[in-house]
Amino acid sequence: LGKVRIAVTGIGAASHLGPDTEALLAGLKRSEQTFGPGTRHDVDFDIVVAEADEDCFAPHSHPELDSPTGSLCLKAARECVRHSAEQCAGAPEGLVLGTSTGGQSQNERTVFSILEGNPPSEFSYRRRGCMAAPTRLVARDLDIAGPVQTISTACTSSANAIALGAAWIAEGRVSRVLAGGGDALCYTTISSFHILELTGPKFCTPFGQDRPGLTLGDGAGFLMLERMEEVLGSGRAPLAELMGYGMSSDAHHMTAPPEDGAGAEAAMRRALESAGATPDDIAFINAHGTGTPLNDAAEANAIARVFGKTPVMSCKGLVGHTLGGAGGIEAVATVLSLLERRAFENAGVSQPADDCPVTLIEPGGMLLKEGAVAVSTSFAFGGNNCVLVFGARERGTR
Amino acid sequence: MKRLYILGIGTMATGHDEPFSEGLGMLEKLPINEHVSPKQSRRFGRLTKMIYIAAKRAIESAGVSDSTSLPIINATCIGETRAGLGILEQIHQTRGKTISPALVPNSVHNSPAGYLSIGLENRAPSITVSQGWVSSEAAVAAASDWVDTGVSDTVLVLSGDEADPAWVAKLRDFGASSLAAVLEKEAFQEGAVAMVLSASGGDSDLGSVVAGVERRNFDPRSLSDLFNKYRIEAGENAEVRVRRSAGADRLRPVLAEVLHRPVESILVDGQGRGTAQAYALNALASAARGTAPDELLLVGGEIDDVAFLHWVRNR
Repeated sequence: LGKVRIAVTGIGAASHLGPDTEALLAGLKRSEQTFGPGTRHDVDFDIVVAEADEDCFAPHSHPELDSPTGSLCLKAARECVRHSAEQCAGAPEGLVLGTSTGGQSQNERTVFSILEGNPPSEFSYRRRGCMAAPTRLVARDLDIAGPVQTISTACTSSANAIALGAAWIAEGRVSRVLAGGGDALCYTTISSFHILELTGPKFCTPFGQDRPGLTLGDGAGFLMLERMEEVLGSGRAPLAELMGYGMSSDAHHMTAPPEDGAGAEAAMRRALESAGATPDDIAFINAHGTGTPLNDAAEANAIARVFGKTPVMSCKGLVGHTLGGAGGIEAVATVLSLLERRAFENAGVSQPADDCPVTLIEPGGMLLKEGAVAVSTSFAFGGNNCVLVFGARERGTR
Repeated sequence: MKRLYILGIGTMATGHDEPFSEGLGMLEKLPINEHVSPKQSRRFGRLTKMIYIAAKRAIESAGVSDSTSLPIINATCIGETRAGLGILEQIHQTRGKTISPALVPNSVHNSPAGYLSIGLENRAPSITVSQGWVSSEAAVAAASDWVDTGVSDTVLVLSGDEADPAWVAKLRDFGASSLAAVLEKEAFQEGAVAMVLSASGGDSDLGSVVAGVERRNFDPRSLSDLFNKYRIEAGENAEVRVRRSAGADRLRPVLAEVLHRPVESILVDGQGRGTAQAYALNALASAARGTAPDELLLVGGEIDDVAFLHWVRNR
C-alpha cells in the first residue's frame, strides 16, 4: 500500500450467527455449531446449511432492485455505515461489492417459472438478476454518489472488493469507501457443490481428520475504509488498520488448488510484503479453511511454509462457507478478534488432520498482545487467491 | 485516475472478425485451437473461447514476450450463459440432484479469467468485474486503480459476453414471448475484446484511455462534475456517443446540454461493432485502429450508474 495507511472505521455483518456484528462476535465466542437442513430450497438430497434468519435480510423500499443477496448485503452495509457514523465519519463516497451469485436467486425464480409454463410478464435481468444487482440496491439505499464496482471472483469476491477499496483510498479516488460483499444461498450453489461432492449432510470440520466437506451459508460482511491520516487527524480512533493485501492466481485447475498451495503461498507473501510485515509479526491466521479435503491440505501446506506454526482458525465451522461473502465476513471477524484481543477457536475441530500441518487455535481461544497483526485468507474457483493483513487499532497511533 | 496507453488490441467480435448480423448475433467461427490444444480447450465455454482468442491476439499485438506475470482484469455482464442456463434447467428437472459437473466451473463469472491464467501459466493477480452493460468501463477503471497503486505497470483487460439464440427460442416455446422480444430488441451481438493497457507507452499509435463508473444523478451538474473530476474535456472534433442501455434515453439530452452539441445514441453502429456489454471496448478498438476521429467519448447510463470511456489518439 506504499506510504498510505488504511483505517477500518466501520464494520457490519449478517450471517447464520445473526443480523449484526454483535451476534457474530457472540457466536464466535460461543463456538457452537448450529447448522441444519435448509428451509428455503427444496432439493432432492440431504444437506446441512448455515442459513441466515429472516432478520438478516433488510427490508427496503426498492423492489425493482431486490434480490436475496442484495437485501443480505444491505443489512450488513447499513450496519457498517451506522457503525462508522457513530465514530463521526462521513457517508461513504464509493462502494465496492463482491458477490459470486448477485441476483441469481431472481434468475432461478424466473427461469423455473418459465419452464413450468408460467412466465412472468416482465423481468429485468439488469435490475434484479445480474451480478451488479446487489451493488445497485446497496448504493441506492445508502445514497452513495460516487464510484461503484462489482467484483465476481467466486469465493474471493469480497476479499478482492476490500483490496480494491483500499486501492481507491490509497490513490485518493475517494475519502471513504464501503467495501465487502455477500452471497445468499441459492439453488445454483447448493446443487453445484453437491454434484462436485464438496458438501453434504455432515457439519464441516475445517482442517479436521476425515473432513466431510464444506457447509454452505448465507452471509455478508462490510468494512468502511478511510485514510488513517485523516482519521487520526480528526481525533478519531480506527477500529483496525488494513495493512496490506496480496493477490495471485494458481494457474493450475479450475476447481482444485495445487497440492502444495503454491498460489496461496504467493498471495500470502505478497500480502506480507504489501503490509511491510514479516511472518513472525503475525499473531494468528483467519484461514479460508473450507473443510474440503483439497483446500484445507493445500492451504495448510502454504501456511506451514510461510508462517510456520502461527496459530490458525477458520470461521466456517460457525458461519459456513458464504462464498462471495466469505472474505467480507472473515475480515469483520478478524477485526473483532483484534478489538477483543482474542483469537477465536477453530470451531468443529481442535486437532488438525495428518495432511494439514498447521497449529489450530484450541477451545477457549487465544489472547492477543497489544498491537497484534492478523491475516485473513480467501481462495476461489478459477485459482483466484486474495490475502488481507490487519493490524490492531493501537498500531494506528504509532 | 491514470490515463493508460493501449499497447495492444485483440478482438473476436462482429464487425471486426465477422460480419454484423441483425438481431441476436453469434460468431460463426471460434478458432480457439489456433491458440490452445483441443485437449486444453475441451472444457472451455463459449465465452471463454471468445475471450481467450481476443486475449492472445492482444498479447501478440502488444508484443508482450512474457505473459505469465501480466495481471488480468476481466469484464462480463452475463458470464457463460449456456452453463448458467443449463444448470438451471437441470436443477429444475431433477430438484437439484443431478447436474453436469462440467458446467459448474464454467458457471462462475471468473471462469474465462481462470482458464486464461491456466493457459498462460499466469500466476499474477486477477479479478473479474461485472457492472451490467457498463462492465467494460468498470474494467478499464480498475486497471487504472491497479496501475495507480503499483499492482503492476501493465494490465491485460478483457471484456465479453455470449449470445444464446436457442434460449430466446425456448422462451417463445414456453410462452414467454414478451421476454424473448425484449432480448431481441437489444440486438445483442456476442463477442470479446482484449487490450494491454499500460502507464507507459507514450509512443503507442493506439492512443490512450481513461474510464469511470459512478452512481450519479442524470443531470447536467452531476455530469459536468464527473467530467471535471476525471479531467475529461471533449474537443470540438471528438466523436461523442451515448450507448443505448437502461438509462440512455435520460442521459442523451443531458450530455448534449453539457457538451453543447448533438449527441448520437447508439445500440450497434453501422459497421455492427459491438456487443451489448463489450460495446465500449469494441468501439474503442475500432477507433484505435483508425476508423474514427482522433477522439472518442463514449457515455453509458445503466440504472443509476453513469459510465464513460474517453479515448484520444495522441496524449
